[in-house]
Amino acid sequence: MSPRLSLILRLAALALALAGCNAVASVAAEGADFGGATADAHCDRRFVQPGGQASAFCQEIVATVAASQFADDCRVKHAASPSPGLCPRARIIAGCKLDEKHKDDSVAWDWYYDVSDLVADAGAEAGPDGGPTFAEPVARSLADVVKICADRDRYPAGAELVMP
Amino acid sequence: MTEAAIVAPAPAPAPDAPNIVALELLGSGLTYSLGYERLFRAWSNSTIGIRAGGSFFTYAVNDSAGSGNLTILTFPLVASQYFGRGPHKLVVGLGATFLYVNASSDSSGVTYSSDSSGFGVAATGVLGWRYVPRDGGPAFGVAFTPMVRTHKGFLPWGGANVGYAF
Repeated sequence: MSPRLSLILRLAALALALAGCNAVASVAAEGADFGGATADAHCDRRFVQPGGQASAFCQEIVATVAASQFADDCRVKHAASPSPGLCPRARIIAGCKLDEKHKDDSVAWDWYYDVSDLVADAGAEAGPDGGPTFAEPVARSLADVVKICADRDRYPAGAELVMP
Repeated sequence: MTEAAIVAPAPAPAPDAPNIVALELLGSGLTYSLGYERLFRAWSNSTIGIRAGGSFFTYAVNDSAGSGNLTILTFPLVASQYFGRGPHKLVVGLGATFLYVNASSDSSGVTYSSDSSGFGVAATGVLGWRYVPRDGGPAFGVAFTPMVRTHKGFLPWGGANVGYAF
């Protein structure tokens, strides 16, 4: 067998194996959703435990098998407030629908809020060690959310602007 | 009228190997199911099968201390008709799959469930091929096993089974 043909066959086998894994994951996700094993959850990053750094957005994940893991990650990694269901819609400016693919076919959104009322109450420097109350980016307008969604450092796989 | 015409036909004999135990991957049990099927001779060229099965699946979705597993139980109950004289059969069936899903919980005990969690039932159909040896032995097959459930709609599903007829 020529080296070129061997390489082509190996690449084809790899592609089939990867496609097979994706297909199995996709089938498992469909079955889990049909059975009722998926749920929605959100992590409201505006409200954090003492010492935590708040952010002006809430992340929600829809139809995931791993909602409870998402909730614990929210609590542990961000000192934020997880709950079942979708993010609160009040005071949302706009959101970014994340293009990243999840193994369980779930979909995630980051919703950016007008937090001027919270800043007015808490002050602009109520963060850890007297830092800013809300970590950047803080959206103040739709144009700000457009820029955030287009930021590939923040969303390496891309994100689309969505309205609530 | 001849004597032969007034004699009622003898009932068809039962299949030689009327019992099948089988493991089905995916299929009517959603993930898998272990089932028992009893075959009855319906008429000369056809057999009826009644299958009951069950599956239990639990998975630690969350690795945090104090969190609860996702648990899925299914109980498929299917009536099928087998067509074909030899060991290769066309199978057509209808039934129901009873489901119980206990959603996983986080470390604080909050359960993340959906409207479809808990007890439920789905209608299921079977259309497939199955090899069932007349005198018993290994039996196997593949089938299209679509399911329908309120709020979830139609699930184009399928499965493969392997077992033993005796």
